[in-house]
Amino acid sequence: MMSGANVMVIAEKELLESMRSRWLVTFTIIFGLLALLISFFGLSGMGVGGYQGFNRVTASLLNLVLYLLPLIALVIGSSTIAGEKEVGSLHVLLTQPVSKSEVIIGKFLGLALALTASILAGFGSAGVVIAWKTGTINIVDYLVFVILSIVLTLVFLSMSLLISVVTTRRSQAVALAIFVWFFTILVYDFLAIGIASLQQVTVVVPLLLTLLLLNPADMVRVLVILQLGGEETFGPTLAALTRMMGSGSGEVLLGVVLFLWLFGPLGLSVWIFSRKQDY
Amino acid sequence: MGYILEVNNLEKNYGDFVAVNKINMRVNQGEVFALLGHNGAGKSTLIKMILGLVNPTAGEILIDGLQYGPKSKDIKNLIGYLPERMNFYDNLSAWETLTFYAKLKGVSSARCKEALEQVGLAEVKHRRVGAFSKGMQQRLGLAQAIIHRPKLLVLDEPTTGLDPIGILELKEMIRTWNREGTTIFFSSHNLSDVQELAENMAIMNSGSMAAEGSLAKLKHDYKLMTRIEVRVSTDQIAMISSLEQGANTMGQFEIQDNTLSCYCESQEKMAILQSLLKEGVEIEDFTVEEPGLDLVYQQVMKQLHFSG
Repeated sequence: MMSGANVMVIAEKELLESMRSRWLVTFTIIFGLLALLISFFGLSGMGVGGYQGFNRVTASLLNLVLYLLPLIALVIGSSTIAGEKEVGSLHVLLTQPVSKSEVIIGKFLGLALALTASILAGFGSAGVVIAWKTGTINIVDYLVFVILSIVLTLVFLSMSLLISVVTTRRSQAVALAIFVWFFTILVYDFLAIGIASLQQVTVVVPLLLTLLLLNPADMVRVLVILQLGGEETFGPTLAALTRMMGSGSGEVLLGVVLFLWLFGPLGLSVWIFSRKQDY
Repeated sequence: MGYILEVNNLEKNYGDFVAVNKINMRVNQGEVFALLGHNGAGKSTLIKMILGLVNPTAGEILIDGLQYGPKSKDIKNLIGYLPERMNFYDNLSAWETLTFYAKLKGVSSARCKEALEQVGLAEVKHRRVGAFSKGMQQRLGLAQAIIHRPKLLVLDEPTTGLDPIGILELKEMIRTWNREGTTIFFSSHNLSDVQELAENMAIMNSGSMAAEGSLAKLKHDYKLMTRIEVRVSTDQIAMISSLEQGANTMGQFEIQDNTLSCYCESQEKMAILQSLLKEGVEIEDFTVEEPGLDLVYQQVMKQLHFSG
């Protein structure tokens, strides 16, 4: 039986801890500052206002989001269980009347809240600048972008807990987390470019689609582009793929797969952690 | 009184390696029980199984008559645990740390205050745990372990890393909690601590139980005798020598210069002294050497070495 009260107690502790952690504070400042700079200079320097200006800024913010948010989620999440294993507090925690699933879910919730709060702080500051420069006509697009960014973060947080469960030391966990980030965010797109340059269209499209569904970061990228409808902003190649997905059912598919990416690794970590003993 | 902890034919294998080999052990309600053994003897694995952190390969563990499984949470409410080495959450204060555990255990915050006072951390409760010394972390660990007034307190090498004052205070706390009804089960390398605190003990060696019982029982089992030395005046030695030739009563004594010495069971020592006095021997001085746990431990290991 899972106790909601226990989950909340663990979540609360995790939230308190991460609000005081150097990692999250540094991240919040860097993210907030960059978002502010991008929106401020993006809108004033080029002299483009209105919807087009908003699109440009969001495209730049999207890149910032895609690089930074998965990284911080992976680093913070992967050290949570592995770190407690390393210093020995996990043994004490598990001798309390809690179940292992309560520990995982509680940690996920607490870290999710902490990350969401710090992302909202960053987006809030950028949002004020955008509203000031372009007005509030794009508010819905902006909100969808913010929500997708949070979903992206939570998906990587879910993966990071899985990493944390299968490793035994903080350094090992963070190393694996950075490798996952490097692969999904940096290397993966080269794969996609390679495939896109193939000749037969019949092969390229399903391959690209598969590749897309295997990487939550790319899914979020496509969903944001779909929301903005900005083919002119993002160039023809991406626009072509976007058009393929843009039939409505494509968005549903992406949403469902993203949902699986959010809860799959989390469920798997609960399962592995509950079966594992002696760490 | 029943057993708070019962271990029956407990086994744990890691692949081909046998960490714990068919162990049987009983810990009485309300006693102080010590677990001894070299590093790698299997103590930690046994403790982890008792805590429900590791599942046994075979055998059973009963805690207050309950077995791990669906009742795990009930059992965990009965146990308090302090590991040998640990760090708490660096960014939380002592108070935040303790109330975190208290909430999981369903204990009031008034009790947290009391526990922090007991372990001597009340003054520093709002300081970050990350800035705590090893000894202070240990105290916080103790507070966490006793906050729910457990029936069974499991301490893994509790005196390692503590300064002499810390060790004295810890022993005092252990005695207090024991008087209040908590059964204490602790592992240790320190034989004098064990001798001082424990009523019963178990000695483990390469996964098996080598010996178990009270110090008196172990001394008896391993035929470790008490040594008495009696010093008499020089002129009495001649008399004693003649006595010895006449009767067999003195046959157990060795005479060297003006000192008599003999080995006997601990409870016989008074009878021997009295019989000497009855014979008219004037005793100038005497010493009694009781074999300590160190000798028992040596003997246990020696016998294992010869038999194994």
